[in-house]
Amino acid sequence: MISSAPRVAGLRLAGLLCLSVVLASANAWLNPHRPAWNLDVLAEGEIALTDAMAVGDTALWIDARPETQYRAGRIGGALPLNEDDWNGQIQRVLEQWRPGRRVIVYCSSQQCQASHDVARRLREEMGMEEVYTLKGGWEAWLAHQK
Amino acid sequence: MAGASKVAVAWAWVLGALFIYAGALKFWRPDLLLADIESYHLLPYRLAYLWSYFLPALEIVGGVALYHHAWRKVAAGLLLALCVIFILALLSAWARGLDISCGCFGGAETKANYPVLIGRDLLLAAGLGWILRGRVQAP
Repeated sequence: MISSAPRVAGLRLAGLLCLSVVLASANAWLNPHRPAWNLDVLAEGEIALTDAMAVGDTALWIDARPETQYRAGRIGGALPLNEDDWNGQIQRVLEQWRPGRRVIVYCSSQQCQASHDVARRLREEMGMEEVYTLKGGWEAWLAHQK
Repeated sequence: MAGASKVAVAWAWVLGALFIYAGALKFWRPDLLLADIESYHLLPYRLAYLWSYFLPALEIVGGVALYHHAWRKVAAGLLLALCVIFILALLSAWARGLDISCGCFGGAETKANYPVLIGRDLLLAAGLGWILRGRVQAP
């Protein structure tokens, strides 16, 4: 008699995968933190490079990359602020900021998370309202300069 | 033997809770998970997008299934395969010198300590392998 155990295991595996697809679909439909399917669309709190450049020096630029990368090259006038040395760097940022001044935070690329984390902390902990993350980050800036 | 079986069941429940917890953290913030997945530079954007929804669901469903004896081994096999994928992804990122956020437990980890993360996944994989090969009985 041939055991049906592998068949049962296969059916159960298919069941788990199907259930996961259903749960994932429900999440994709209902979750308010849905990322953009189309990369050309700005995510919440993002600013496009062209818009950021139009704002120019009137905005306060924040470089959220590690200190070594900041020293190697940065957008002119940008101040360093990353989570590794938050307490040491935040004072200089607060000195340059005034209510109503836009803040644009960038990190190395579209994929990095640091600019989002720093922007969130500036909003939540420092009470800054107009804080944006630069879409594409430093990579997009460099590409535009070429 | 009954004592060993009870330990194995308890261990399956611990792992189940761990995967449900890890999956739930990611489930609420697919945007953060997508950024973490993107930082590995392994998948095109839209595949990473789909994975950012599918992975948490898989962890939750697999974690819950570890609680039921009839589904335990299948779930262990599925989660073990996930752990192998995680380990390979971490090794790949480490080899390329990427500064990534692991994404293992939502946004809780900001920087990857590769040996620790790989070691943790190896332990999880070993635990799941034990369930998979062992004779874990009801409940």
